[in-house]
Amino acid sequence: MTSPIVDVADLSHVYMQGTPLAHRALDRVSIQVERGECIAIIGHTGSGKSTLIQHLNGLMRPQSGKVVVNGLDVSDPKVDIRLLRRQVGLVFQNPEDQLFEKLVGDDIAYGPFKMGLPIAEVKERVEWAMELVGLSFDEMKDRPTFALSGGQKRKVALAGVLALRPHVLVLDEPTAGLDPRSRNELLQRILRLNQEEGLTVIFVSHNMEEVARLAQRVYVMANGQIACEGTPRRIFGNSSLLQEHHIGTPEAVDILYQLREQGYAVDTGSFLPEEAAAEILNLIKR
Amino acid sequence: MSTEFELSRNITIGQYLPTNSVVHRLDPRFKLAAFVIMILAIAICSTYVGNLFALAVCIGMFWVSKIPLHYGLSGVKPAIPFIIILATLQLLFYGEIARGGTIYFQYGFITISSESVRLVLVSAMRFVEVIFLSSVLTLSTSTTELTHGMERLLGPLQKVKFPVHAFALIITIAIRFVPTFAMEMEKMMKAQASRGADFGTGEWWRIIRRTKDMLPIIIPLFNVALARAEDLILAMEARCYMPGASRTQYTHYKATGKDYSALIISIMISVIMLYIPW
Amino acid sequence: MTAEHPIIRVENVSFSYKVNQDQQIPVLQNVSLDVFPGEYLAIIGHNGSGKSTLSKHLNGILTPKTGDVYVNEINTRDRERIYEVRSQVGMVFQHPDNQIVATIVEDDVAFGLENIGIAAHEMRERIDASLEAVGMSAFRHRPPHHLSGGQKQRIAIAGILAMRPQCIVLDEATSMLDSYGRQDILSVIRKLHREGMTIVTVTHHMSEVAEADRVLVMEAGQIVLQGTPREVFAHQERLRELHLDVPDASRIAALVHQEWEPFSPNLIANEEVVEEVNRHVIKQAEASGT
Repeated sequence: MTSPIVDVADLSHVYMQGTPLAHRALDRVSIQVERGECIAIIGHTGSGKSTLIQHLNGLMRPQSGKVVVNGLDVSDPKVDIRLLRRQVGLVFQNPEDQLFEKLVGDDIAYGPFKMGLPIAEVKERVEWAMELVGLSFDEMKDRPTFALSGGQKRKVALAGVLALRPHVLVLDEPTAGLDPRSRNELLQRILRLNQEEGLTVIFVSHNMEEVARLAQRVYVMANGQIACEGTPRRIFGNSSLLQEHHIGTPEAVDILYQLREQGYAVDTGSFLPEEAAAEILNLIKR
Repeated sequence: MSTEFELSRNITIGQYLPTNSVVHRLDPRFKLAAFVIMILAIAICSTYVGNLFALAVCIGMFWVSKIPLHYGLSGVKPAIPFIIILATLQLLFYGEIARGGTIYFQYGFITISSESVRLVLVSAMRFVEVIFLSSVLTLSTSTTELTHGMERLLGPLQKVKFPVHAFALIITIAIRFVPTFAMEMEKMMKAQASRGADFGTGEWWRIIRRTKDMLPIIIPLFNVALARAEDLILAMEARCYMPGASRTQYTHYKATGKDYSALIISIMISVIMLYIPW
Repeated sequence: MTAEHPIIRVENVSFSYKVNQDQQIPVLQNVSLDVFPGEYLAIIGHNGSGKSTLSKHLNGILTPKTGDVYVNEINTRDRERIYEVRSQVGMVFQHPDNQIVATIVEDDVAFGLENIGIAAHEMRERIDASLEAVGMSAFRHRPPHHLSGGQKQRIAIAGILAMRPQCIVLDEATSMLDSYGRQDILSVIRKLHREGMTIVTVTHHMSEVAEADRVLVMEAGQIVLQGTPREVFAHQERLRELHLDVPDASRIAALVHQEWEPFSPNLIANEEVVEEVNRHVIKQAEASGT
């Protein structure tokens, strides 16, 4: 078996250490992500999710514990941090806020330019990244960024990170604040990046429908620790766990729980509407 | 090891240390007035003993307000290079103008006299006094009380058409958004660093280059600030805010004997400072 | 005033944003609508459908280009009486951070009251009551920046409640919150509605829509669909064309109905699905004579 592309072992982090306001954000967290996986990290606000993902591209360095990404050791002070940040594309919440160039194409080209790539390759990368997020290069590259819709801006920001050609894509609440149309489209794009481009995807989300649709594996965080790890089926099938950590359940799972409470034999891990419908048909067609 | 980005957690503007001392419980209007009177006295007083007395009073204030002195000292520390530069300049150039007293040293245009030495030492002491006094004020008064106090003190200016309420509201909103923007800036720096930006690695004298490196942060911050301001205006309008319209006030202060005594004490201290002849 | 009298009347309202001298983008086209006392009205539509612009007309933040909006028979164009309009119809916005003006929670709740000239002693009573109503009394002396998104929104609601409005408009007020914060706000809204408050909510979340008495669907500046949530969610195909979801409960019911005719497709809440299953299982048991 090959070694995992992301290997976090016993990572701890304390904010404002040594002051009365010290706050332990991460407490011996370990996660392993294999190449090509799509991983969700869920948990209540303040559970340590965003502190964790900021360690993955070296925005934060481990206070104790180890973070190794694609062979680069983040705790090593001599690690090539710029190489690391190119390999791990981190997309923050509301990334549309970070656009600063007048034109769409220029903004996406910022990263590749900073890498010192020749013009021709920058252009090629911008074109590639734009097509990946579903923006037509010829049509959109010369559009002013401020005139775009919220959903389009977010795609531009995502393309700006993809243009670095990362091996790992880390997303913080990728669809927060988008309307259903833009949300569904963005989810499709992320799924395709994972399945067709082979990108390893790690995303943080509050939206359980989203987790159910995208993730192959889920880490549940609580109080700076990993409370639980498993497939969505396993996580959503465990109601006491979800309640304990204030995690909402997908609606389909909620219906199945209510049925089980009334004595029906149903598989509560069936989180897709189609699966839930099949479970119900099983009950009533008998 | 910490990181280069942790801005918001280090911001201490309006750092309030609730020790519930007498000073903390003073009416902010009176506290602010006493503060202004003492600052004026410090600015005028140019004698050694007067300033030593003021310094002693300032240190005493820490004790009365139950605030550890190192809070004041940590305010002085960043000002030391500035004090030294100022002292050097005064020492070198002021002697020509203030030729009073004994002349210790003269070379070309450089004259060092007892007067210029006094000026240097007194200025340094004034600096420390002002920092100490401001520290006590901000550490013992919440920003809310400060703005309320200021609004009331400036109240009479309304008669000459000075927009006191609007002014106080602007300051309140500015203070309210300091932590928000610090977080915003931290996030923006991290977001841009994540796509290849680097800040502050160039040599410091290449100012244009370094400014250019900051554009990916400054431009989005401006945009976000404008968007926030627009939202805020709508939210304020929706809650019946009209610029210039008269408003009532929720907080009311009632002065007690303690507040009057504090004001009188500060006036007495100021008078003593100014009357000490040496 | 009788119950039939609408609180808000929107009559043939059109609105457009000016891009430049000779270009205008129409956002609302001839929209009419009544909001009745005690009603819970949801407005849905994708971004750019005009729903947010419509909501900003309800208390005179925007005034129509043509047509009129009346709040308790006061035209929102009447700037002299705009205080009355805005204290009767309060508004909670999307970003929790961008609607708090003060450095202390109770001062923020007082902001609106100061604007409409309420005396200090009465303010105290009103602030007590409205902080109590949103469950934030314990936070009254705290600075707002330490609060969570959901708590900040509760403060925003308290600031509006203090003005004793008849109607609260929520303009995507839960869209920036996590599921926990959202539930928090929804339970506050539910409680206010039970106590008689008129609620207008602009939202993307279909589970919130299911709780409303009436739903409006907007597209290209017009109301294209309206009715009870059940009536609206029955148009699954039409909603999909408009790029809107339906609650999972509706989707599941429709899927079961496809395979099993007697199962009702018009369900909108999780509990209804469970009940429907119960009904069928019992019927089956009776049919088989056990």
